[in-house]
Amino acid sequence: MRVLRPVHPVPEPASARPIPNAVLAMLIFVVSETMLFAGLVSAFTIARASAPLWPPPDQPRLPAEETALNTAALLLSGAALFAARQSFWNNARRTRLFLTLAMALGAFFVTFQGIEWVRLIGQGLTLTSSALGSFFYLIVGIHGLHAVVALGVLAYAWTRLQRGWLSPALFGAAEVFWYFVVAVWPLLYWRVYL
Amino acid sequence: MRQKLRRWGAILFGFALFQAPRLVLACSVCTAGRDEESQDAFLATTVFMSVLPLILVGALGWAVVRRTQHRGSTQPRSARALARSLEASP
Repeated sequence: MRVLRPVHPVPEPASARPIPNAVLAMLIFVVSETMLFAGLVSAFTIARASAPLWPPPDQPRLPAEETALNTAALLLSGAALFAARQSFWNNARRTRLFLTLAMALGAFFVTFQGIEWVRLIGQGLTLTSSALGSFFYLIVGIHGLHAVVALGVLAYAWTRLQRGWLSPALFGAAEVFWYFVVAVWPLLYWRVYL
Repeated sequence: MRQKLRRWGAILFGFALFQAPRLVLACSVCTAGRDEESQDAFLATTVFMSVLPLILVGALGWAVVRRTQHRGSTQPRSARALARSLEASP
């Protein structure tokens, strides 16, 4: 009897990889984005230390207390996403619930930031009014942009979950992105607002 | 003629070296660190920016190695091992 043997080595299935490709790609992206934020925070730290008076006397103060509440909302959304991951393999309904909660808290964070910006612009803090304004809108704006894109990725994952074909790799990549948005914010809050 | 050129080249090079520290002062950032607070900020951010990429890349590599080892200990008969055993069987 003739035995058929594979000509090429059998490729490992995707599930046998230590880290799925999508998650690894997102991790590499997050590493590069971390360096972007590190550069911005470093530049802000030097500008702040070099200024004779900080914050500039003719500029409005940043609303640290109100933003603390917003920070709590963002941290809670990270916790909700973690809870969604915990039930990913055994309870799709619970996963959907926590994923929705995470997205709602994230949307609250972005909306609150928008309201805060409108108020600050009305008080005279603009991109060109001072170094504080320039750095504030640049750093917080780039974080906000990341938050919006990450919310889009979470929404895409939610849609696929709703249709019943959300892969663990895609969910993992969305998680990594959102955790990055959540984890970098306390550092920005500490350096920019306090 | 060639020797003359070399001599003048050496003199110009020495002069440029002598002038180099003054050129550094032309950097607007270098003149900013005059007081102690801004010098501390420069030092802290330099250390931060130098160490952070090493930590990030190290953590990524460590996570991949750890996951690989964990997978190896929990799944001794991986797909590749199964394929090898199938190939070996008549």
